[in-house]
Amino acid sequence: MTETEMTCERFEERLADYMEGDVQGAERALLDAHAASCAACGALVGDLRKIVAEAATLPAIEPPRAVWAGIESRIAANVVPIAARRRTVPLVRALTAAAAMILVTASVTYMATKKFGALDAQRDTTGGTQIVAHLPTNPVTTSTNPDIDPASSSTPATGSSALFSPRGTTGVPEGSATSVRTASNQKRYNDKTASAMAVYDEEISRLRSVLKRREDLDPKTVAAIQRSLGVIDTAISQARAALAADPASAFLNKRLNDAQNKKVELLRTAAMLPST
Amino acid sequence: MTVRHYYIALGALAIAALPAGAQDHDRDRDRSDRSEQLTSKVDTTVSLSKGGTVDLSLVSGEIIVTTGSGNQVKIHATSERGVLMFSATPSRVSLNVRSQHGRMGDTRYEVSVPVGTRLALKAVSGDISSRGVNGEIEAGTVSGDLEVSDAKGDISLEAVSGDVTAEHLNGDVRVSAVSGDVSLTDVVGPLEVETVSGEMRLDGVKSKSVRTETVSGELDYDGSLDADGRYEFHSHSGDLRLRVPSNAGATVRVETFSGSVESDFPMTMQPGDHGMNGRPKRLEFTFNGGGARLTAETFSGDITIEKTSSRP
Repeated sequence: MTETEMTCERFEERLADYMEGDVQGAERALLDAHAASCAACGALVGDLRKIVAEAATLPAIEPPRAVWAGIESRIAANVVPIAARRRTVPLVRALTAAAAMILVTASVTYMATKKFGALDAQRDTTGGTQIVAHLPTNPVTTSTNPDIDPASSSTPATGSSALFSPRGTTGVPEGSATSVRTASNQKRYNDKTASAMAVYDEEISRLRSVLKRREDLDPKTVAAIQRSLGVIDTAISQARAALAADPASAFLNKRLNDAQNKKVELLRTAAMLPST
Repeated sequence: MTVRHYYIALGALAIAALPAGAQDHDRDRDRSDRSEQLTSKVDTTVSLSKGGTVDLSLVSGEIIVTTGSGNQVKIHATSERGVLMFSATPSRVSLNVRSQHGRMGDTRYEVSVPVGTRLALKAVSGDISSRGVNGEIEAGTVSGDLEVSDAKGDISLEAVSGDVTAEHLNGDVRVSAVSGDVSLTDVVGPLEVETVSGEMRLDGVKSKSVRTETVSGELDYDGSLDADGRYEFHSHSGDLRLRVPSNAGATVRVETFSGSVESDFPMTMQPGDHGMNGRPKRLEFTFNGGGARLTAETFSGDITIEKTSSRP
């Protein structure tokens, strides 16, 4: 490829920096031109910008229901397919969508805990009123965390780095500029992931606390939810075990992501269920 | 499955079901609202403007909605021990129930509405059914079953442990359940279905956009494939069985970690496909010249793609 050519693959490789405004000059012009001429890449950029814009408009706590409804479908549409598309670097999409996910879920958790009383119980130990303050500065996506669920804690975690293992790093000579950049990116990803894990840990912990206090729920409903949580925990354990053998697998990372997101969603739903 | 508005709304309803002593303020407020009637039985008929909304909520019992004639809403509602709260404006009819002296018992609504009425139906442990209305509907129940026939426009159906059964849906359809099963027949328009462990049976789907996701539930999909359409099916351990017309064209990507892949259409391995040494198996292939984009992914479930008879 010459300096004047731009392919979809190259575009995707540079997408993160492009979206973050880190590409200037001739290269940016090339990327702009490609986004304008390629329907798929143009649509991708459009989606990302929408997500970023929506995430930016979310209030810190208690998003209006209209906002929630709007962002919800976008979260479902974009968090899930991160790895499945096998894009080279779907990072920005993943990160921005996950940012919205974290912001919204944390806010919903706040509402649930506030409503059902778990907030006060945890305020002193976990800073319950400062959920948003725990959010990472930059958006991040979810990652493996064996501590989320005691039932699956015996399964070894594969480490967060697997989730962000950028394709194309294999074979980069050590000490090269690319290697340094890759290592830097990896560290950044890991830092972000660790921060995101903390947010998810905290949210799941809070939601579990809420659920324990929901004695007003129909026992049959509680039993159904517990069974479903068991199903999800099994899925999480299986995905983790598979990832231990193949940590770079985008497919397996996606499966783990899906299962973990499903768990958060279910806990969130259960926490907000009406009394019988 | 996600937190949707109806859960929040139902939460409010549940708060209304708290012992009477805790509700004095609300009661006083309600008594000052002359448009609202409080009773344990409602038998009335009111007019509703075209495209108006009928909003029905209860905790335990049953909601049955059918269609009537003209622009009238006919309501027959009873509550064993609760207090029914009824209000009506030209564009909206609302009925819900709150406890009386801490008790409520079962509540039953039988309501006939004009064709095209927008429905908002919510129950906690009650069953919900709607037939023939052919309007937008947002319906949710926690532990009851949900049955809908004939709906149009925005269609949102949700259950937790109950089953969702619906047919003749035309619009933007979103269905979710946790442990309950989902069965949809004759769906036209964008479709999203989610469960955790519930099975999904989707028959007669005509859509350019289909997305299903489940953890352990099995999926049976029978639908057409539009050349410009996108079809995504995901599960963790549930089997995915897809039945598509023999004359449909699609570019297919299937991936599974430990499940099997079978197809009536010829599958040709492409560069990059793999499945050895405990790694996921990924296949990408095209049949009938391509067109639709079909993705099926599962961790341990089996993927089956079957031909059905040709369709236009």
